[in-house]
Amino acid sequence: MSVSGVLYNLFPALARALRPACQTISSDTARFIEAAVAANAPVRSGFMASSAYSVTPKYGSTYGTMGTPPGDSYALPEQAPDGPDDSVVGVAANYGIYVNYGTRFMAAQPFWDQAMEQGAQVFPAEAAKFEKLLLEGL
Amino acid sequence: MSNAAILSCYRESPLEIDELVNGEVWSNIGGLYRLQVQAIVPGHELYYSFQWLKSVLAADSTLTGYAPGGIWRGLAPSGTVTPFIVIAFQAGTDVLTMNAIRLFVNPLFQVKVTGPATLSPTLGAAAAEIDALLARTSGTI
Repeated sequence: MSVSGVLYNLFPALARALRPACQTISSDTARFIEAAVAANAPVRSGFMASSAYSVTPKYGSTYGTMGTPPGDSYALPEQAPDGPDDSVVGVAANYGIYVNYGTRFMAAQPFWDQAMEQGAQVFPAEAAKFEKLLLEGL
Repeated sequence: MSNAAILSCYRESPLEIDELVNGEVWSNIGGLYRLQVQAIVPGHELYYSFQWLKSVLAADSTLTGYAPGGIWRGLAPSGTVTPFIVIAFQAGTDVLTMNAIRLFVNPLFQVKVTGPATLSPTLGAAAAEIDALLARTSGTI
């Protein structure tokens, strides 16, 4: 007696869908953190909050949409991700680090660290979309 | 009986920030330390964390020799002798059971020694001593 059937080899399609799925997870997490940084940032002129940016494989760069730097402050250059699947979140305002960690005369207002913590909380939910993203990519 | 158990304390990243203070460069050297804090007696875990960090650092005579300005929470008052140490809460999350019972808290603190950059060797030695006291440790308060 012979056995017959139809075989589907989906591994090439899965391999093609793998990278976009990972890029989406990385990009969506980065965009969430960017929004959290902007939302947590203390506001005086609004420049620092508006200078939060992300560079992601899925959505590209949001750098350069900030307001006018107050006084002698300025925007630091855009940081590039290490690889094609990586994302970067940054604050372009050159004084952001002093706000986050404090100075000799000012206590820390840790908007950045809290956004990173919020991002770490969100990441498992983003990563849980992996299978769905993989199937969508087939 | 202890108020809280510090289940672990470890450095998550180093910290070094320079700033201009009245035309003079000052350095802040230290690290971001992650704690896992479980309250034994009802109370606030962050308050217990501050108490534990301060008690560990203040008990070390080598460190108090490097930083005669003392240990401050958040900000040292103007005129404080340098170098001095600042502890500040940066971020943190609760670790809960499925039915929202708090198991412990994961706070992140910056611990840094601050002073004029001309005292860099002392600042570096103090930061190393802070790390020796806090990195990969545990305790109670």
